[in-house]
Amino acid sequence: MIMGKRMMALIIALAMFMSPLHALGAPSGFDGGVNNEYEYEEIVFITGKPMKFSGELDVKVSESKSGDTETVKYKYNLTNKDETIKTKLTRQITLVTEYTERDDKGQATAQTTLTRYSEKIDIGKDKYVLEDFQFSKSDVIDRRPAADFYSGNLEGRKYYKLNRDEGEVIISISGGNVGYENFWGSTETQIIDYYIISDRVVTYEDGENEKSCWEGTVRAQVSDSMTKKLIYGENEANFSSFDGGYIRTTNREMVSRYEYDLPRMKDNIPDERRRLKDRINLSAKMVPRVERLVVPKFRDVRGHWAEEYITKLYSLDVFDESPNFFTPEIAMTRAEFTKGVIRACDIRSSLEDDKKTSRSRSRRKELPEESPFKDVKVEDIDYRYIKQGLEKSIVAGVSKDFFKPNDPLTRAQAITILIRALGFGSKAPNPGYYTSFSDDDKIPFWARDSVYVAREIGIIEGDSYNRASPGKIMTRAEASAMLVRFLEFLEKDLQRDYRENIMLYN
Amino acid sequence: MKRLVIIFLTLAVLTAIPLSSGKAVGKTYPGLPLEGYIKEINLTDQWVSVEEYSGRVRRWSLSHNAVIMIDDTPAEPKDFKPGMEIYAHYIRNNITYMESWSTENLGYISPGTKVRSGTVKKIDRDQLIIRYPTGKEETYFTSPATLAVKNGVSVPLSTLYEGDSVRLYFDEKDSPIISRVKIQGDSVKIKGLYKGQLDVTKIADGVLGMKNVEVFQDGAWREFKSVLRMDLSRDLSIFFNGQAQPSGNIKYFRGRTVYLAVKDFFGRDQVEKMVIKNQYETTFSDKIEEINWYGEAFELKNKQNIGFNEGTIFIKNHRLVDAYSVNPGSDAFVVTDGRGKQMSADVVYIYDEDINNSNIGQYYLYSGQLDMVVQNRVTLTDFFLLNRNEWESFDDDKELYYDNDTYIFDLEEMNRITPEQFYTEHYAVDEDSSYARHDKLKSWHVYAYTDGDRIVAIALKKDMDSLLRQRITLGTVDKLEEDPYVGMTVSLRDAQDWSRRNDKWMPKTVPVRMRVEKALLIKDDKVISWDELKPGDNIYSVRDDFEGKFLMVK
Repeated sequence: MIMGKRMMALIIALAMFMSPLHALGAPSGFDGGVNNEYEYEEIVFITGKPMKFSGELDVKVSESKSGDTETVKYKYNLTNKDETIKTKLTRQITLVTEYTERDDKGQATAQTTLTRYSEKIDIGKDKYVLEDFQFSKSDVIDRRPAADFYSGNLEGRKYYKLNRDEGEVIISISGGNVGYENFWGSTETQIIDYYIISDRVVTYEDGENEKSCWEGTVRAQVSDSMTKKLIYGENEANFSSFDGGYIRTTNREMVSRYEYDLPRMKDNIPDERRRLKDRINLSAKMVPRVERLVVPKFRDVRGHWAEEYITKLYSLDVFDESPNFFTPEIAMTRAEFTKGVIRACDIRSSLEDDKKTSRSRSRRKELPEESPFKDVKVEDIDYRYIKQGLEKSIVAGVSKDFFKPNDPLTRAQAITILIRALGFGSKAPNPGYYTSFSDDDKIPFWARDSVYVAREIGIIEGDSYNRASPGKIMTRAEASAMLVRFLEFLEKDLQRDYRENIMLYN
Repeated sequence: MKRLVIIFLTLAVLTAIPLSSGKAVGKTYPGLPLEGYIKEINLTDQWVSVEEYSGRVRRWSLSHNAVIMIDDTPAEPKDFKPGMEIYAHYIRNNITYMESWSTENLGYISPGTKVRSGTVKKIDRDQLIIRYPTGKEETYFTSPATLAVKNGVSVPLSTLYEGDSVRLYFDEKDSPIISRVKIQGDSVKIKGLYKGQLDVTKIADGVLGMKNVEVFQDGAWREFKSVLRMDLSRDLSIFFNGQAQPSGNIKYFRGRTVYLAVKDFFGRDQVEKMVIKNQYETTFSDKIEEINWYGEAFELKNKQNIGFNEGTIFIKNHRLVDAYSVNPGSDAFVVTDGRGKQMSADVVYIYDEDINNSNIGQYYLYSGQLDMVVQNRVTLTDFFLLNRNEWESFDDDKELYYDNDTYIFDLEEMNRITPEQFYTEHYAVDEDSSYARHDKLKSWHVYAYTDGDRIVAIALKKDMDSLLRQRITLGTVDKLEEDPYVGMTVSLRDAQDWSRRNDKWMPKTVPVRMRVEKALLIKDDKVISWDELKPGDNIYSVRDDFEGKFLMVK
């Protein structure tokens, strides 16, 4: 019963049907609040004085059968524990988001509308009731092979009545959000501006009335971020069949900052000359989730400069290797790297679909599948990955008919595959430019954009002679190091860009 | 013979010139060349009709494996439109290679889309050396058009410190000229320096546990908490004996003393850098006389030689910096690790602050008597200039300029006055005139905070203060209090007074309290009111005992 009462942040998310906008790593609601598994908290400015409310948040996410409509129900039940006066906030909001997929462009648009709302805030003797709430939100989602990137805008207005006829508070809401989601993490950062107009009548003990009007601004920046990282854990026991192994931890954290400019209030009357300007920070962390991964036992990588990268990727099942020898100094093949990227980014959903399709196809006795490349057979072990890579435009053949799966991988090819997976090729300058590498003339025309972008985002650097070495054959060790750097980009660099680089600099 | 030599040389030169950018690198395509305009293109049947420059029109098949490019970028047949000029190669009736041109602005990037993020390593007027997280460094330049933004507000570039985290935006791909700088706000500051016994770490959660924790406050280690948990930054660096340690190794140092530089991350303390003590601690509070960066050692004024290394925590202007940002002559609190004469610095905490954050800023504080005030111009006579924390007197006149944006404050009436009031009223009079003698008028005295010769803010008072009594004090705002008897006061912790005799900052072991109602308060080149001061603000102040005269939020 106690547990039931204090069951504060119950989040029922239908994970299987989650869209990027409500996946892990998206703030709850649009009030700048943060929550962990137990408690939600936000700052309320309706009285002109910042007040921290905390308590239960219940989020329910459901999706229509067709999959193009998502409904999110938020239910808040909060109080301000610091105040000596009685406080209570109850709020219920239902938002419906309709998705329009644009498969031709690899994008989707989402339109969010408010279908139900109610809100009551009791602060001492004052009761604020939400009379009207207008809200509109729209997002565009760019679905790239390795990650979905999205951005949106929202506008709204809340109209509260105070003690029925004592006054009103109008809060105009305007802002936007930006986020990404991939297998290694997701972050959404919202920046929302609130413009508050309050107009009320204050009645003194002697029966005298005074009109109290004030205006204020609040900017809330809130970010919800989930990341997965690999941590090596040593085996404490010596007489064990393995020395240690990797643990994949999933961490989720919300941070928020309110920046406000409000009148200084005394007995509900604003001081005309003095303003209250400050910042309030909130943060909430969830308990990390841990997963042990398989233990690498290679005999030929101990002490190798790339040992850490190789063992990490092995633990993640990125490469199907014999358990004893990785052969780090042998050239990586085009097919192996393609498979590695697809597995490392967990681009598996359509592979699963592929399996199902082939099963149903066999039932229907349709024509056998035809390989897009003459040198890759449908029965080949890597066929599905190559096909997947081709469909997602991560890889291309060396010509229209040939993929050359067993050809050694060059640096230019590896870089191109990674940048295509991110969908960042369009970030390159207009054609007709030189990269800053000293061997720019050696960069193949098809890899130029990728090499440029890869340096800009920090996935590659020049060597001591500032060379990109595009034609250099990559060893399995070098390819592993590049893949691990790519995963770090998906996990760490994106988080920094979508959270720290926005919130700490604004 | 000569002709042959000339032909041979010409051929040699021509072959040495690389092929123009029209061809893919390292590849030549078979077939004969074809140049002209596309008349028609059929995607279904894969043919293209080309009008050659000669005017001949002919239809060509597009080979299945044809290499097709526009502006050196891979393209598809559907990207080609009638009217486009092409260069192609063909074999029999098949085009094997075709390229065209479309881009108007070659190599163009949208303004502000080239971004660099890093830490300011060195500032030298218009030159910024930026260090990236990878350790690589690059030099960029500011121009008069470079915009700076901090905490979402436009600020002058002079607010920049060495050790600041910045994001630089460029308008052109290869330009080193910065068009915009975003400066990380107060979250870049080191909030606290802690010392404690390492207890447990939860690497999965990124949390560190410590026991018997002390905090560096008011010039010494003070007891803080017996048990403390802190978050670890994702960029945490850990050092032991000058060697970087992987975070997984922390568990082997359980029970050892560690020094932590801690930042604020949305209200939570986060460890940014950790140094694990190896031997025995000694602390010094003295001036660094000389630094040998190559020998990685410095000498204190007391002739003590101390080594430093990559792991040493250098804190200057409340920011983590590297050894190259420390200048000889700096006053520092130094925590060393070692025994006997062999000492290595674990922590070097530089006290020094000045009105200007770097040599970008040309801000000055003047005090003197008004000699003349005319429209947009004032002259001070026998003025004083605050130079290296001391009032320096000049038996001379100083001309300064003001404008409508200058903040002019009458300290007697305690109100802001307009420029018109300033030059029409009796703030500057000819004291020898009969008029002045008759009305017993005297020229007023001022404190003027200027950007070069332009007055940013000027405070006016009838009588001159005794500047000799004044002290320059640094500190961090601990609390603001409205005292019913004296008005608004501010308490500074970690305070230091400048000692003229010792020529160094003297840490105070007790907080300093001062009244700020009559002080000129400056933050980011602007005058602020006292209620805009916040706990945690770092202050550079001029005070006469309890009376604050000038406070600058750093």
